[in-house]
Amino acid sequence: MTEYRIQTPLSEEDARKLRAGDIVRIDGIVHVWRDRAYDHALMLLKQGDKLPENLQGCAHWHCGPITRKIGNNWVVISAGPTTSRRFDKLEPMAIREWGVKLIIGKGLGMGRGVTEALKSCGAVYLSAVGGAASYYGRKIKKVRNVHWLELGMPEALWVFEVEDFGPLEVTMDSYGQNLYIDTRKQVDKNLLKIYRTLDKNIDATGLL
Amino acid sequence: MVNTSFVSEEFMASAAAILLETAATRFPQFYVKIIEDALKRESHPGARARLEKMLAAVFYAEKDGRPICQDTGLPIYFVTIGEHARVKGDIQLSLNRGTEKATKKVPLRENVVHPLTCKNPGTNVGWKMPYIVYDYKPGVDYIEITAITRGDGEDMATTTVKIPSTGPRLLNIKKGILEVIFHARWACPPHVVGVCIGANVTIANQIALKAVYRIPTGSRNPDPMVAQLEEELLSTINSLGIGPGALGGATTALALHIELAGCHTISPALVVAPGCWTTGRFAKGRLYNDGSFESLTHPEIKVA
Repeated sequence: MTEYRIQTPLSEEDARKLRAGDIVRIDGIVHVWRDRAYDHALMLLKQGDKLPENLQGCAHWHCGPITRKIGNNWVVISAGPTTSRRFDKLEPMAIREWGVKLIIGKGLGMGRGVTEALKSCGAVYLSAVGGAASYYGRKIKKVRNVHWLELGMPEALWVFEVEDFGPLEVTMDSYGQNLYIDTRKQVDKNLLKIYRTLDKNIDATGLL
Repeated sequence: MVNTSFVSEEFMASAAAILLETAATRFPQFYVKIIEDALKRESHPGARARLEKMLAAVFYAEKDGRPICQDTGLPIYFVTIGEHARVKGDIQLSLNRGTEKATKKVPLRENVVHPLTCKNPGTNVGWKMPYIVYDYKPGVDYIEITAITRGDGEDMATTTVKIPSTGPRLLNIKKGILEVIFHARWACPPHVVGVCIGANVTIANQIALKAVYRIPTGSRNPDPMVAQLEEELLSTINSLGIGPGALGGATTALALHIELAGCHTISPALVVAPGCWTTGRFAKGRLYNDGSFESLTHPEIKVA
């Protein structure tokens, strides 16, 4: 386990140094978008428009923040990760075509399409603690930009300037390692053992 | 103290705003303690680090007045009307005003949108929201309001399990509860699990939701048979190895509350509501006819 302090945008070479179990703290820019913004981005691209941000080497945080406008500036009140599996269909494209190198989220990591994209492009998935939004909110120093506010506060595309953003844990790396799957294997064994204690005649096939 | 002989709209609106703000930003002390106790028992290094981060979030939320979790949910209130309470005015309108005020002040996330057009008024009010679940209590002269901020994830994890009409009933119920917890790994464990065994599916969902918010969190059902089942299942769930954030450890549930209800002769409904670790985002207060207020979750709060 190694601890890294990394700067965005991140190169493929640096992303490939990160291994499952490593701890990462980010300085620089983090891009925040989720459900509605994904739909909106796809619509724009279909029309032949460009995305308003260069996402090459970026950190894509799955999050719908609480923000407040004070004068002309936005400030972040609370911001924590949302469940990443909702973006299983769209994230491979963001990695392969838009250049996302770090994904930050929570839940159970992401599916096979993302695993393959992380491997072929050299990118990683980082886990934040779900619910700890008051903690991460303090690490956001400035709101650099916001697009598509008409989608609503949680659904806009936010560009945050962060300092010492973390600790985040590498839970899926570019070599196919996935800490959620490792934990799941142990949980499967424990659950079968519990079922057998409850009923020694239990038919264990198809239980999991 | 407001010197009146009834519970006014203004009183209800102020109380709702303060309860909702408190719910989003400060756990009750008894709730903080169950996380601290879990940390004392936990030996998995990653799980310890995650529990410590959760406690840090609780600390900074209270210190800065920030919501603990950014998903401040749909605004939902439980309102219990006492037999001798005299309410003057519209409870729904009062709670609308309180919700709008707290949304601006804290601020809360602007979550409530139109279900088809996604139009967001930015107030968390509209289209039946905030939603009020009413109850009645004989012999008392107050109304009781509980504000809960319940994220979408924790609510989506709520699951109805079909219990077969034949076969070993208790075994099937235990298996059902374990399966729901297994599938809710994404929903920010450690959980506070609310369970209803009985009634029908429609009613059991509401009873399970209320069970999540039992006070104090982690207390036992007064029925010794149910209390024993709660203890057994809590310890079984914590031997699954799911852990905080589903990355391993001995802390998968902080508490488990089971409620029974009479059911149809065929079979009971089983509803399991695995609230996330920020289930402590609720605040409850009593509004008396004489204008006084007391909170059952946060004794320090006052309503001016």
